[in-house]
Amino acid sequence: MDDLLARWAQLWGAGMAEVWRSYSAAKDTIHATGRALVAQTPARPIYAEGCLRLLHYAPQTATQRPIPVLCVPSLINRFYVMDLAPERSLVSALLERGLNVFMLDWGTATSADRSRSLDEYITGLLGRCVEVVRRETGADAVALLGYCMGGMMAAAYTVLRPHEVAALVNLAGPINYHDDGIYSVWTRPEYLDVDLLVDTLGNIPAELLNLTFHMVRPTDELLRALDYWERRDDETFVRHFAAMQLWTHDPTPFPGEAFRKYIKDLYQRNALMDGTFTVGGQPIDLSRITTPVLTIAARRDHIAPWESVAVLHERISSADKQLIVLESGHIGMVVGASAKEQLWPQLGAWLESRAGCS
Amino acid sequence: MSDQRPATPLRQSVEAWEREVAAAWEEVSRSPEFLTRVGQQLSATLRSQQHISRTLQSALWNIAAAQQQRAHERLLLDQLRQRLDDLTARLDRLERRLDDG
Repeated sequence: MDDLLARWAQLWGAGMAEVWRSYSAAKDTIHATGRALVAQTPARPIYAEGCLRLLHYAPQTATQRPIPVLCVPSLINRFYVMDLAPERSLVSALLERGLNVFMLDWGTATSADRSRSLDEYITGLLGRCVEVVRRETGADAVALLGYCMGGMMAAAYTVLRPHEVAALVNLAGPINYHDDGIYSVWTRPEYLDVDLLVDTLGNIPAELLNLTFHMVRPTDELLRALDYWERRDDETFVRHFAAMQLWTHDPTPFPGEAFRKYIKDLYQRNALMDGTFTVGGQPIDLSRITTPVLTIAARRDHIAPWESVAVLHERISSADKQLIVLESGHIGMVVGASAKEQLWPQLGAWLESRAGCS
Repeated sequence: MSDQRPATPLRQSVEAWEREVAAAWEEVSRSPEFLTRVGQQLSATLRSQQHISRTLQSALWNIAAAQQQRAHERLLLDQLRQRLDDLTARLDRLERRLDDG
């Protein structure tokens, strides 16, 4: 430990002091640059409920596939990771293929959302958004594209209302929560008293969640500072860097009761795996899924380890199912430099072939 | 955000140092002793916050109750003053009638 501290002092003197000062001074500018880049794909809100908005993206092709795609992000982070910047937009890549894309923006939870249950988020809010998309497009069923926690929510919804889901994509959504991931360890009942946390704080503050994310690898921020310092004159780099920095520092409060159930039932009891997880009193038995399913995991994912995501592929009964494991991380798979060659074309082609003829 | 340029000596040193720190932190942040202590600290902080909230809430209730009590007492005093004024006026009238009679 002494050796690491001594070496850090040397690095600080050798240039890291200047790097850090420059990065700290530029933080506000970086966030402002990021703010101007994210969620730029033209869309209009077609439904709102509390802080939730349902966005419909403007088509980028003359005709669209008949089955609409509804993107379901995590309740923890902002939806715009799927539309990070004009040149790093999964949404845009799907639109270019003629897919009719909708986005569920959970918004920023307020005290009014404190007692909203996870069940209500899945069968209530998500359910009403599915209904609006079906009404708007005239389609009988939609394709659900769930990212991270949204993958679990979309899978649960598919079990409950299979006739409304024409296809399901689980993008890095953990199903097995008793894995090697750090969150699986940190949330164990012997360390984390979820009831005390929720009873005291209500909604889990964004700042606390942010702190938790950064505690996974606290020194990572130093490397980001060095990235910025070395490439601050590279406009393309700065654009993507700014959008990413904004997103990683912009979590949203987690609604209290939904958090309680999410942590207790899934992280602590791993209830999806033993079939005891219920939503609205209905058991979520993943083997009841017969819808076409695409599961995409990332081998370097430290948030949702790839085996924990891939387990969906094994559990479901769908005849039409595919598993893709990408050589990237949890966020990099969606917006990294390789996303354009790896995730977007594979995901786009799969959805395209299940979304009907245009 | 891959960069094809050769890493500078500063970057090489920082990355090597960061990898070692991250590995050490990974070990610490998974150890039951550390997590037990953090968990206990968090619970104690949350209980303190609950206690502070309850104390504040109770103090606010007490202040509100005292204010209500004072308002009620002021009302009674006003009513008493009014009755005294009425009685004084009646006495004055009776005295004047006696004097006139």
